[in-house]
Amino acid sequence: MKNKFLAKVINFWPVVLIILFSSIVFHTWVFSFSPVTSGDWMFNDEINLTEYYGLPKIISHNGFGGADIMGLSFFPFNLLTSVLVHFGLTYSAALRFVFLYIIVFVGPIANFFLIKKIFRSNLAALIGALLFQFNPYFLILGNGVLTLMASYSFFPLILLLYMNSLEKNSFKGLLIAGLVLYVASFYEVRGLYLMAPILFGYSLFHIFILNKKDVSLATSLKKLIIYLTPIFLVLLLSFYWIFGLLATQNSGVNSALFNRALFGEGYMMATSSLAQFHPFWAGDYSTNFIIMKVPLRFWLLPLAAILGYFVNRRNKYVLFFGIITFVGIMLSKLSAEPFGNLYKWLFLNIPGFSAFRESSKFYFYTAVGYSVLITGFINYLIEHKTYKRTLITTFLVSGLVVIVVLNARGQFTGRIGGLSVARNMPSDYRILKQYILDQNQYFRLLWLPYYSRWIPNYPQNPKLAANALYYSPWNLINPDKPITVKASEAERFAEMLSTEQSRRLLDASSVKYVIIPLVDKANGDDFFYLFNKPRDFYLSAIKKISYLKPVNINTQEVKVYLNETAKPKMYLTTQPESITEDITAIPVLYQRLSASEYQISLGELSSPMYLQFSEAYDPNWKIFTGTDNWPNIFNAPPLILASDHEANIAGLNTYKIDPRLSNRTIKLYYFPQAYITLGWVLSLGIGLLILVFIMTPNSMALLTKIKKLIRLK
Amino acid sequence: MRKYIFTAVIPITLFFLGIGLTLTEVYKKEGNFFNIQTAITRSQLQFPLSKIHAGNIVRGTFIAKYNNLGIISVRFTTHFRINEDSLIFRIKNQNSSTWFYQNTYKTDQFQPNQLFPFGFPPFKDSKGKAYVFELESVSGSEDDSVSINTDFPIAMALYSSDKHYYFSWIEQDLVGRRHLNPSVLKDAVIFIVQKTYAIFVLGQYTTTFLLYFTPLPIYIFWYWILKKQTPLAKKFISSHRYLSLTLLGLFLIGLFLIKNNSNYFTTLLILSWIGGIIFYKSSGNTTTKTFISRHSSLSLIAPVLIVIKALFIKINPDFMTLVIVLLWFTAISIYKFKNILNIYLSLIFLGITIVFYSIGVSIIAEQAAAWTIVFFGFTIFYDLYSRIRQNHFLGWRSSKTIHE
Repeated sequence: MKNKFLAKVINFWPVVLIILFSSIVFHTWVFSFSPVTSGDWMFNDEINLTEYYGLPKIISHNGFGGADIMGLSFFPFNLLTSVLVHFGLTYSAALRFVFLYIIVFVGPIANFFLIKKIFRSNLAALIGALLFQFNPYFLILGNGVLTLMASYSFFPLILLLYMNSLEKNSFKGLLIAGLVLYVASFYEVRGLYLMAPILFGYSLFHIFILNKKDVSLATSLKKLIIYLTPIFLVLLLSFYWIFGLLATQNSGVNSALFNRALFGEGYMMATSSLAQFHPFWAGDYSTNFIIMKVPLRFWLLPLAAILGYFVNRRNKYVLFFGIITFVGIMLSKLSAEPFGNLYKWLFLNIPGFSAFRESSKFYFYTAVGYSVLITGFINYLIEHKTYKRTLITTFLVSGLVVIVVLNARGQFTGRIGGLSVARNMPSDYRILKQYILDQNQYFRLLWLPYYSRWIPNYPQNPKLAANALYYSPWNLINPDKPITVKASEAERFAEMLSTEQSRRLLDASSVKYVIIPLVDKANGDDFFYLFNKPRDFYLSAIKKISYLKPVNINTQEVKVYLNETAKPKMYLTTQPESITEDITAIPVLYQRLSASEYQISLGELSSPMYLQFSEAYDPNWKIFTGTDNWPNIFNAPPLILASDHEANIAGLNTYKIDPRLSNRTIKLYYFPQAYITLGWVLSLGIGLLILVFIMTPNSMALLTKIKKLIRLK
Repeated sequence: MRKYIFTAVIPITLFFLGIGLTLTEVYKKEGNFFNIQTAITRSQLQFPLSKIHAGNIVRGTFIAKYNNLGIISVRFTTHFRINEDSLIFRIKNQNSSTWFYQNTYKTDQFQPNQLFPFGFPPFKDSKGKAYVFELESVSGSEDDSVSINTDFPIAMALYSSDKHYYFSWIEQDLVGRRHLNPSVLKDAVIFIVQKTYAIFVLGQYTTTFLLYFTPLPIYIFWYWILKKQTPLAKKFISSHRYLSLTLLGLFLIGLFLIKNNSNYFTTLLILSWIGGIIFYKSSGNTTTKTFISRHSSLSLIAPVLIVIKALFIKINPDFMTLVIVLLWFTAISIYKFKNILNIYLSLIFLGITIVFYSIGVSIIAEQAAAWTIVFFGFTIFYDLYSRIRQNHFLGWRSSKTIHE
């Protein structure tokens, strides 16, 4: 017994090798808990993460706020991170458990087992797993877009579970695959969008190709519906954000992700797609928009893949992975030949496809397909051993190992940059952070020209960037918002803040501090070069703005300027906010119950007043009586008519309050939140039921009995 | 009389139609026939080999070949981004101490790898004189700059010629007698030669010219086939009416919906392939091998056309690729090719891709890569099709042998 176990353990030597190799390559992630932050992956902290306790919320607390469907779909992993932090982990440590270890280990190990299901050779499966993990696209993605990369990492496991479930006709297996698919989906919905067609395709493949029996159309359809259980389950478990998506259709908040223009034509090429080579890959780092030549060694991949397909095409699974490969190449090449208009057509006509404004995401398909096909070729050579073939195997395996090692070296050395480099928070930002939090007061911070990654978007102290404000509707100072040459962009930012009108805009937007960050090249936090003016330019420009007063908070380089007249988050005015005259703010007592819900005590109102609420204008923010709570709020009538709810000068909410509401306690509620809470209750209930069903030993027999009973009745 | 119509009138008409359509295309694009472009060679240009940063200067010196020099076009690489930099263009006679013309151009309007025209008031007597032009970057940086693309022609000079001058090769004297002006005639002949060169080599009208001339070989080809094989051709069409209708449908879709002159090339492909099938069918019980050995030239037409399309024709690609894929499917069905042929073709095209990519001819490498993908896809979907038939699900039983 012991020997059998030992033999099994020894048989898994490639898994040990994968763990070792991945740990060495990703040593900054595996062996340290240092902060990692780069690009869009901003640093977060333990204080900010408390925001994610409780129910999922649609309202973002970043910037000017507003509904954020993507953020809502991320809720489970934010909740998970906050729970880990609650149990004493730092944010950086929690990040490793929630994202980084999954990326480092789950993807390649699961892929190893997936390949082992198809081919026998351990060596071949090991190479396949490493090729899957260390391809240029995944390495670039893993250093910037962790959400999608984590989602991809679950796919080999999902596919393995799915294939086994169909073969064993196991409904429980399908449910388990569905739960893992849900996990992949909450990391990134786009991951689900990419995985669902493969699972759907595999179910068809299983019914019509692998199943050798004669089947009628009706039986096939029945089977198909059962086989699609994992996808249905994900939809059921995602009710909270699906309801949110549907409930916010009227406000157009979902357009940001889906209305982006197609991008990347000219970068993506058939040659790069065929060689599974990201066009910006410079060998050990990404050049960002400079097209690199495909190195000769990469051509080994398509060659081995085509040959792998050819020699294994009688293997029942290989055809399916051939199809995945072909689809991956066809889509990742974007508008290159053949069928260069295909991607554009899909982008314009297939719902949801517009979330992929550039085609590199489809390298995922090629990675899955190539890892199996190439492994197949190695496996064939090993199984049909001759002297010549042994030589070819040695050459091929060495070549592939060279590709893997050369790809991985950037992550190991840190030259790839991004999240591979351990960062240190500069002391100035620690001081600033403490200074902000100590005030325990709502205000916004405006960063000139752009915000540092070290200060999170706290719910009480969101941050704004001058660069983003300049090109947004908020910018009333330069209404035509000329897209300037970069050389003068910095001047425009300063100009945007320089007048009395600017001050009134900042006041209405609750901007209490303007901050000039430091040049932090070591942490990849230098953005001054983007606007073609040195930091000194902003330091001298801000001195000319009279209403901003310098504040000494004992930082060495970070400069803080106070706007003394900044208004609070919620206040009353006797007339609408104006850009031409100062309007007095009358304080109002309020309590923030959550990002989507505020309780307000209105004082004595002798005449109509204006309630100013410093969040991005959205008609879904409704005012109810203070006692209206979920679920009764579905039937509660709003106290303020839609016609009395407008956007103020800064694009924030203004309500005209009738004096009849004098001394009343009212509730400000983002109405779609009611549906999200309902969706969450349903999703949670379904999730718990599924878990109980999976864990109950005789649940399938019980289900059959119930079915029979229903039929008898 | 009928014989002359078919053997002389129609071919000659098609020939002149080809010339006429090409010239019409040239006129539509250039506005008149009397503009002429000459190439400025790489050796006549000094430029930074990397990106043109602030203060860098591109300098060209050349001798004008005609009068009325009015435009200098330079080919730029934009690095596939919108650059905010501006370039100052200036031009002067080499002997002049001051610049004749100067203007600033935003580089955000430059198209990737295309010639960008810098216009200026024409130099009337430019012929034979040396000119210097410069391009200076205002604020180019590593992330915001263009570079010179060294593809031929790297730069061009455009002259607007005086048509009245070339029409004066026959002069009329005061008493009304006409006589030849040899110097003008010589200039006119040189102009025609240079213009022809400019159209077919510099102006990128080669493909247009080839395509507009395709009706002629199609006509000759069909005339020859129908004359020899009329009864067999009719028989073929009646026994393969679905195939014929599909091909005709494709042709009509291409002609009326796609509206691109490359359909002429597509038509040639389709018709030559049908011709090949007719011949094959008419050859009785010959095997594919015997047929190919007996009619090697005919058998080669379609494959050669596919290779030409695969490597050199780069317009209206989707429709043409689809046509070729369908034709290839037809061929597989009729000739009963084994699927291994697709693998071979895929590997051959992959080999071409690697070779051409390695030697830096990326355009051909891209085309070959596309065909690697097509044939790899063909292999997969042919296998899929075969498996579906083998499994005879939903009562779909195969009546034919599966060709592995």
